[in-house]
Amino acid sequence: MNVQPGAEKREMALMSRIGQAALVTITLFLMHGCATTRVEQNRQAITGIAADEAMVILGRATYNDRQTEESFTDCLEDILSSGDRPIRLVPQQEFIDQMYPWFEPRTAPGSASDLGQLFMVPGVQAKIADSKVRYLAWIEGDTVTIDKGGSMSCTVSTFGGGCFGMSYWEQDASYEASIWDVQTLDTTGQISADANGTSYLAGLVVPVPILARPGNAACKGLAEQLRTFIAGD
Amino acid sequence: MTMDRRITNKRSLFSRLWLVGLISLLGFLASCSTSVQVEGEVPKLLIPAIDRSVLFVKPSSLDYTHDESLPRGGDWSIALGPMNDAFFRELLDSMFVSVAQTRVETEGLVGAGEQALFPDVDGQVRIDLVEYGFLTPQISGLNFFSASTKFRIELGSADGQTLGVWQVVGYGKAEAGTFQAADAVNSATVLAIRDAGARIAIELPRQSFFQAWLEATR
Repeated sequence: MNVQPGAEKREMALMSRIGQAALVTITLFLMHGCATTRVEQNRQAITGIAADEAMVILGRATYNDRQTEESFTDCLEDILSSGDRPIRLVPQQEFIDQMYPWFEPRTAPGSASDLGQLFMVPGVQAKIADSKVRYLAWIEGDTVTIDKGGSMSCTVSTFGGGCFGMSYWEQDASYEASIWDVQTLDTTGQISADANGTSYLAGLVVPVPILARPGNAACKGLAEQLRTFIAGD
Repeated sequence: MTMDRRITNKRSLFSRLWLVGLISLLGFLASCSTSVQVEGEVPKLLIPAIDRSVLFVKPSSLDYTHDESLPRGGDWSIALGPMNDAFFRELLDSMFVSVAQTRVETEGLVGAGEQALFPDVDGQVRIDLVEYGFLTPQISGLNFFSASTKFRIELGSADGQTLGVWQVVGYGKAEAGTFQAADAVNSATVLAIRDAGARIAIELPRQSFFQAWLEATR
């Protein structure tokens, strides 16, 4: 069989492009490492939200060494306020400022029944009614590194530099949302999301990160379940 | 000089300059100083105002600037003055129906000689910043920057007699991203001031000397 030189060159160029595309795809796949997520729900009351009603996502702040990251509640707000079925949200800081001093870390109600007691303070219930807040979703939990290992060293000299080796870290993201109905002053349910993933940093002259981002996975899982819980299917 | 040698010399010069620049940058990062002008949202109180007129006595301690050198943490200069001023002015404006204010450079309340300037007040409130401290994650071992404030509140009669003194500690913590240490210290300090303010608004009126003053000025 006769193959013309021009056709052979084109075939080689095509194969080269396919190879490059495969390499890029594999690299991108590796750079988004895997995180497994588990979401569970416990419903205690029927829920529903009118178009003019709103929800507040509140990160539970404590005085110990653990605290729900602001980035996590921001992530929940971004997802819930967008998409096909957006929920009207009052921003966390705006709500806390409006309710000062009753939702500071030291003074915030610890349960729906505490909220009932807080409503006896003149002005509190009216303020919440004015902003048409129907649900408070308290978020507790955080992302922690549970294991890490490997080694990597980087050197810099006048002739250049580079990193060699491999390190990894396993993170566990565990969050729970407790949803309070401010009309009935009851806890309507809890949703928990747990995600686990291992990230890698490979030193191949330049450091190549392969990130699992379990916090992001937990945020997506919790946000979608929270939307379904509040607004229905 | 040949062309090749000229190119080699240029490369060598470039490498040395690059190295000097890198060392300078590392030196700069190691000895950097951070200046923070504390600022944040000043919320209004959601508490019914107490039906009394007071004089807010503002001492120079509220203008405090905290300077500290941390081992491996650089030099810090944290100015609390403007935030303290705005925050406590708003806090007292919300707590009482009417508030006059005066700045003092001395200890204690406004004495009998000056009280004629504020004839309609039922009492005086002096707030001093007694202590301020902050911790970086390197020191605390936590993932947060944290700050604490200690305020001394002195309640006095209209003629400058001390009726009671009460101290309150506020605490705040904030997470920090890379190269965001100053923002985190600012947030933690604002939270510490807010925490102390929340305690003053809720707990000060419950103090026995405060209740006695309310009775006396009924």
